[in-house]
Amino acid sequence: MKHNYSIEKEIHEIKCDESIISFIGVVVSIDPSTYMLIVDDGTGAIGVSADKLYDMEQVLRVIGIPYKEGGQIIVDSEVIQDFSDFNLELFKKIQKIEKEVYT
Amino acid sequence: MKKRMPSSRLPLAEIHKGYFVKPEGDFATNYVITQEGLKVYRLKGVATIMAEPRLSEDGTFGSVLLDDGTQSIISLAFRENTKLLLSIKKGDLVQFIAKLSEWQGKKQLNLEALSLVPPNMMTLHRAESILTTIRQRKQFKIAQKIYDEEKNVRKAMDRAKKEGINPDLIDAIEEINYLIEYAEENRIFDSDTNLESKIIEVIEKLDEGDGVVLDLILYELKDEYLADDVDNAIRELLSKGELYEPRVNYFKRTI
Repeated sequence: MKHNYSIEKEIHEIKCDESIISFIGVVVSIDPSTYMLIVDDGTGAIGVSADKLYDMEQVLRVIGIPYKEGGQIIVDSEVIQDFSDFNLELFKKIQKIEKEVYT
Repeated sequence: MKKRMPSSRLPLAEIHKGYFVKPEGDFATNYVITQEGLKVYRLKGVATIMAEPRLSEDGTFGSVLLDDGTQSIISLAFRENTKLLLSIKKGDLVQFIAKLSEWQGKKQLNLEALSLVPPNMMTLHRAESILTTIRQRKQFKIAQKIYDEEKNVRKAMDRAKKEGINPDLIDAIEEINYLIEYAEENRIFDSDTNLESKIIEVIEKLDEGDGVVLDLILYELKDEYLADDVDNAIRELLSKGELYEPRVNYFKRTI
């Protein structure tokens, strides 16, 4: 289903039939020649095409559109945010409560 | 002196699900009444700037698209508030306070304050939003029970007051019932507002990356709408920032 806002996903849930998604993860690999990052959120890892290079192990929030290339899903980033000091553990607890409250 | 209405923290999805009310009277503040009876006169939120802010040439008007992960919304700035848009760019995480407005059936924000915030503010905002929702839901449930039992608004308000429930909630229930009825009538009698959403649907369906040429949009809608109406609606969508024109006569959905 197409949305006009970013849907929060864990990496293992990302498919390429969604218009825009977001996730938070750590940079585990960088290809400086293609500006391609591999970002891992603990549930999976995914390629992210970026417009600049980030640091290894940097925590990022990626908002982008997934597509398939060579059998792999790549996220074409629309926005990449530096989430270095983000308390991911607390955020996940809040997300869990949100699911209970809003659904 | 007119009382300043405070802001409420809520996700954008709750605003979109609510009903917009423009009260009678020149100086009355617009509000959105949520499905749980909360009247939101000012919204406070944390969201990502999804497209570069736009400013009119004379600097008296600007707009920006905000996305909080539950919904997105066009946010406008007028006159001196346009300076809020000068210090932000696409990708920034911001906290905003804004009044609510509606244009052609779509809710919008009129920005009053906007500032960059660190990522952990997103968590705080969402935690506080949950708290607002839970508190409101609890009160609303009791108010609904009183309303159903009393059948008379005045009596229900008195009883709510005695039981420590905000009597305005009884009023809000009455208002929601009226708005639901009114919305149903509008759905039946007013199909014109569908044109913009149909244009967006066509663009989303046909866009292969470079946008969709105007002729193709007109062709797709030719059985239902006049070309002039479609053209005008596209101009409106452009001015609202919901579409952009990557090249002449090609239109693309703003993300």
